[in-house]
Amino acid sequence: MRVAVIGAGVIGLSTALCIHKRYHGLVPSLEVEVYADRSTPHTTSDGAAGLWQPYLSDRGNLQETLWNKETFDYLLGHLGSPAAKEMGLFLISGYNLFTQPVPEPSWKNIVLGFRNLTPKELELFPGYSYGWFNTALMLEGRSYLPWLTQRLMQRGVKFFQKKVESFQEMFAQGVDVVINCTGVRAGELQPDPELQPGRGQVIKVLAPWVKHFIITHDIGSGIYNSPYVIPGSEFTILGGINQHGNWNEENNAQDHKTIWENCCRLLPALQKAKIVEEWSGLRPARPRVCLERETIRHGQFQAEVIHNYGHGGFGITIHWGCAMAAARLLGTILQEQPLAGPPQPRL
Amino acid sequence: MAAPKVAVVGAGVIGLSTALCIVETCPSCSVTVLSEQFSPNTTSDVAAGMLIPHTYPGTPIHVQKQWFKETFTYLFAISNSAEASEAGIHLVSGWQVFKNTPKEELPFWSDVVLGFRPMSEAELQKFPQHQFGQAFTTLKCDCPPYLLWLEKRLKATGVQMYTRKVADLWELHSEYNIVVNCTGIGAHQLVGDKKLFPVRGQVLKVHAPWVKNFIRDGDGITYIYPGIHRITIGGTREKENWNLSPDPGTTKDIFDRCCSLEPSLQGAQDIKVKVGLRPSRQCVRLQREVLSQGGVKLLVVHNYGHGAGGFSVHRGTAKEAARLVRECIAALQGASSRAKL
Repeated sequence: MRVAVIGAGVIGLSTALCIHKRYHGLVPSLEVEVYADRSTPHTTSDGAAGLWQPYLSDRGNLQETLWNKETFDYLLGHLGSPAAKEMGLFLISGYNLFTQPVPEPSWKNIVLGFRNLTPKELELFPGYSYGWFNTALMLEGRSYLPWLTQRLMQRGVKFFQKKVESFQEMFAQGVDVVINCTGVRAGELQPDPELQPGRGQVIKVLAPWVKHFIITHDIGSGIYNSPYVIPGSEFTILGGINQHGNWNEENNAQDHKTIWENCCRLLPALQKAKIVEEWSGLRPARPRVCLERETIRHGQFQAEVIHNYGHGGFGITIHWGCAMAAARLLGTILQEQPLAGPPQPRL
Repeated sequence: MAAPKVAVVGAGVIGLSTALCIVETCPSCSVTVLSEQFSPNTTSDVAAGMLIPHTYPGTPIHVQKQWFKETFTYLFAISNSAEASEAGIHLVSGWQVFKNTPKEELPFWSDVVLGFRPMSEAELQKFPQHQFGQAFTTLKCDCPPYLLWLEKRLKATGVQMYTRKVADLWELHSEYNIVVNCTGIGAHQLVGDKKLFPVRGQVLKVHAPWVKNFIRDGDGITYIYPGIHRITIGGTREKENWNLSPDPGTTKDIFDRCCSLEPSLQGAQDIKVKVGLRPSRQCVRLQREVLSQGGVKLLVVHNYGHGAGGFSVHRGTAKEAARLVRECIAALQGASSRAKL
């Protein structure tokens, strides 16, 4: 049973690991492979700051709230372990700021110590009249992806650096199940008008005196189109760009100016921060995550694809819940296989 | 009289902040700072600089609260300005955890710090040995940056600073009208204050930049305080121990205790060990004194004995000391007018 995961961002790697952990002992002939044209540190996941925080609204997708919670609890459980540092996992507290009161988010009981901001705290942020404080988690892609890769390689999972052009290409090679974790470029394998890039740009600075995340919200301009500051273990990420439909991965000078001026206004202490790097990436935006099984017929054969893409700006936040859901879908596929021998083509 | 000449003895957080307050409130004064040590070799440089007050048994609570509030407000404004990184002032959030629920659940300073509240059950799960806790956001003054920033501001106003060991306050009487004694633990010998005693603290300064929250055991002895570049972890409270040399057994003990609060510290790098002697006293000695010898007077303002709470109240006590200096100047001017009659 050959399972090929396409994509080596946080979704691809964590899904591969979840599958291998769950089925490796149970399915004797299971082979898991990862195919990707880009891997760490060049994936979308590597550019993200790594803050665990879902969007303000669950957009009606209750499943996603559950997957977010599963991810948070899974990561929280790893906090005290020796692996945490290598994973790039740590606790962080911070602020969400609004210009008017908003309903409490679906994740208020998932994070730690969620509360409204006091008037004195709001004095720190002129222009914002309402906000939340809570403690959440950081999971830095630049550490987590190499950690996942090492865990996979230790388990004998093979990696192939190549651009997969079609699902057929995989099946023709003898792959039985494809796990499609191709993120923003999933449309190249199978058209999906609901999937659009949400272009982001960030400035990485040295500002180790910043110990809190600060996310501002402008209900009118949409999520992540308002300044945010997220301190990592080494660098602090400044952002606030989310351009729907923009495929351009080049850094833009106007966006740089917007980010820098807005973040320095938000946090005057940033004015002396040294700029280290600039990066642009494409959030794989979709009204809801595409996490489903699809049976593809090609010629006389029937092959399976499990889609796991479209995690927008909350891939890290939701990744483990989705990995487990994808693994469950693989489980139903495995259950449908004949008990003995390798899978046979169905006539 | 000519511009009063004020000598501030001591260049830790108390000496430098007091000098600055004097300059701010007495523009006519000529202020000089004299100290045996300057940053990075003062007691203040060893401290984490967290704004979490120590309670002085001998000082009314409302006075301590006023000092803390003035200090907090002053630093809060700096932390939210472009000078924050140079001054080394930043906000930090975290938890104070107790193995047993304390008698006093609300400390006097709970409404001065930000967002003070009891910890939730979920938060306490991270500390299985602790039953109760408080979460809040406060400020931290990193040293050396804060002391260097104070020195820079002083020099900009024309204050001179000299490395000098003052063995006796009286030796300054010919050069200065007023002496401000901010010598911390040095006052034990300098003015023979037997009520002042050291409480030895050993700390480790480690590189663990993923630690963004502070954690403090309510006993005040085990703590993890994230600074700009290093985390200060500690500590000890050894009364009457004058030993400034690091003790290796203590280092291991501190590391173990802190790792049990925050396991990820196992991965900490580049561990540096420091020792400081908290200049402890029942109450801060903040008062005027007139020394006289053979008809000659020397006006002294004492501002020492802040123990474990120096950073938390430094601006408040500096302002009070500056007020006492103004009283001294008024007294000198009164005497000077009378002398002219």
